[in-house]
Amino acid sequence: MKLSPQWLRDFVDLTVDPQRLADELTLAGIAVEAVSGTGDATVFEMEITTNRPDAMNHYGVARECSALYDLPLKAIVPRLASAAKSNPAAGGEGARNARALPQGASSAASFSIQIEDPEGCPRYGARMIRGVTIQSSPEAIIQRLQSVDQRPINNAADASNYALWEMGHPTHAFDLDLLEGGRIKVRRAAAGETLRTIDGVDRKLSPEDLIIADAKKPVALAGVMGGFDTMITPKTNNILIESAWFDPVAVRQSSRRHALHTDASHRFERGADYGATSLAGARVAQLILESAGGQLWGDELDVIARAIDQAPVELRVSQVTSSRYRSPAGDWMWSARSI
Amino acid sequence: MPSESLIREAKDPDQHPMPYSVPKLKDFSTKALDKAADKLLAALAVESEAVKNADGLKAFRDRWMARKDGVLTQINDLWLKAAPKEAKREVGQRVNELKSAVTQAVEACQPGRAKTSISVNAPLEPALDITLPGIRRPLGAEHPVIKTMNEIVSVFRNLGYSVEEGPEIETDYYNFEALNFPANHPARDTQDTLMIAGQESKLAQDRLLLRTHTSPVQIRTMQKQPPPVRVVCPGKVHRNDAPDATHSPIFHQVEGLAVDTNITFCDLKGTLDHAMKALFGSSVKTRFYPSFFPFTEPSADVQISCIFCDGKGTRDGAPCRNCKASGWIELLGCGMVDPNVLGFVGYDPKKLSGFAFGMGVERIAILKYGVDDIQLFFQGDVRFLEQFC
Repeated sequence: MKLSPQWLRDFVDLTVDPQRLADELTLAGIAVEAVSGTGDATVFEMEITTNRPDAMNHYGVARECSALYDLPLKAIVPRLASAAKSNPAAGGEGARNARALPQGASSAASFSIQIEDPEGCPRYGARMIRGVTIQSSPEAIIQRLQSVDQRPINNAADASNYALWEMGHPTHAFDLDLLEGGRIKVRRAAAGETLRTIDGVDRKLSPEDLIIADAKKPVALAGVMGGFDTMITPKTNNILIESAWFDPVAVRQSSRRHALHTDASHRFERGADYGATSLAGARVAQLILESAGGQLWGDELDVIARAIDQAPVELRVSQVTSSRYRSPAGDWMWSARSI
Repeated sequence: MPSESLIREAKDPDQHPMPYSVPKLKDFSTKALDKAADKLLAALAVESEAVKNADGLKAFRDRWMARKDGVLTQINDLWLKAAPKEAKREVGQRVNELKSAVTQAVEACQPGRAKTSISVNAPLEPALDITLPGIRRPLGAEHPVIKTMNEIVSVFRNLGYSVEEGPEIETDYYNFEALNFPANHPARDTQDTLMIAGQESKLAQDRLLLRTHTSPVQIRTMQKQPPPVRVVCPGKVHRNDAPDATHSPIFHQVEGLAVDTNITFCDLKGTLDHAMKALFGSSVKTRFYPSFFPFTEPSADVQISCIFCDGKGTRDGAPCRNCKASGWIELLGCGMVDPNVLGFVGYDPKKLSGFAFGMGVERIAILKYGVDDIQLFFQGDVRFLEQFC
């Protein structure tokens, strides 16, 4: 996994030079295998172990740096313009016909999320944006994506990819108008259903595949890859941003069944952050509004089918105090015991 | 009309036989030479038989071996000297053979010797030289991988560890599940397992595979004995890796396990630091940093200071290739045994703790012996292997 130390500086004020940072991250358990480039263009090749999905993104590594160097960590706070504002995107293609919507129209009235498989999908969040202009991303976004070997596509797809590399949560942008029936269903595939994924490959779905579907057809292989027919194209006017949390086993099984390993499936398999779905959706929405214009349509949708509680961490105080002893000078010392 | 002497000789077999005269050779081909040699030997045999007394012997000898006109001189003149350049070698050989045959025949006729007839086809081989030394069979020697493995094992033996071995074909249970790799967990991907075909009808945990590490032996050991445990488990392991200069689908590991009531991370560090010094020399340093294995918590990777550049990172002014200029070489994985693993074997994690470690034998052999390609260990080329005798 590629990482740009310069990008980390968005969140933490690092002053160490890249080589020293690489060594110290490695000694902290986040291994830097190779360092290439110099100065701001330095790139780290990371080897993140399976147990550290939190470190598979820039914000996670920044969090680690904040702990290592005792520096403050800046939060990601997406500032979303209210639904009424937002100019058409610069680029001179002329204003798109954004349909005038009643202020505060509830999305729930016109769009619904139904989770039919709570085991497979405990949480599904969505935000909608109307009246976007799809074109290339701003230069800063392109440059950041290229620094970690990602291919820029268009401003909406790039926004989703940028958020993944920034904060680690996989999201997906659908062309809202191509979702039939005004609803999203999260369910297992029915026997015989097929899906063309965005890589252009037609896939036969198995009844064990967890999919995102609209009222009529599968539109994505959940947590793995979106569908070809509903992807963002230059003609897209309206977007639905998916930000969800899928069961790691379900994602892994689909990924292996279809031999499709993606940045998204990699993170869902190892455990994405159940509590980050809303923040990720907001971040992607902000990026799209900034680069593609348009406006938010209605409130965020957040359906929780199954609560995932954080497991408590037990500390046996007896184990801690039993390894305490007094040094000859009278200070309390601690021997290196494993708990 | 034949001369009287000739007729007389032919009629009287008791008389001396017609003396052999050397014919001139026109044809020096092998066939012609054979023919001429045979005729000579036949005549020799007949004449030597006819020698009955001392006078006869003298005459016989003079006829054949006299310097002036003896048969041997004649064949030298008429056959060898007359031979064309390309035939000289062969003719010369024949002449020598005939010379020794004649000498032998004459010797055999000496009084006091049993008269032995000479067979026309007497083989003229060199006699067996019994003073030559016998042909020795070369002794075998330890393969460098086995040699290294034994060296590593003996370091731990000296610390009081026993040796345990186990099967190379393992079940999914022993290779993964009992080592805290849950079913369908991505940590399994780190091992590139070779599965045995045709196992679909079995329960997942019973499916057979080629073991990817020798850790299953640790589980088997803990299952068959109560604590405390001090074992090393050497053996062959298999991974689905394409072979190249640093990877092989078959390689060897030595893993170790110590479980007791009072084992700490300090003990792990001390044991491995000592072991590395024992293997690479007392000036080598070790450093530990966090890593991840499902069966240990916390887990660590261990590096030794580069033995080629003394941990400096540079050698003769240039960056050290062996440690990529970092001064450190990664060699081992280790950690404190995860309480879940103790639970799987029926040990009480509240009362017991332990550490485990593992290292690749080929990797250590490559460092110790300066081998640059792991494939050399598996190709069976004697020119490579005999350097380790």
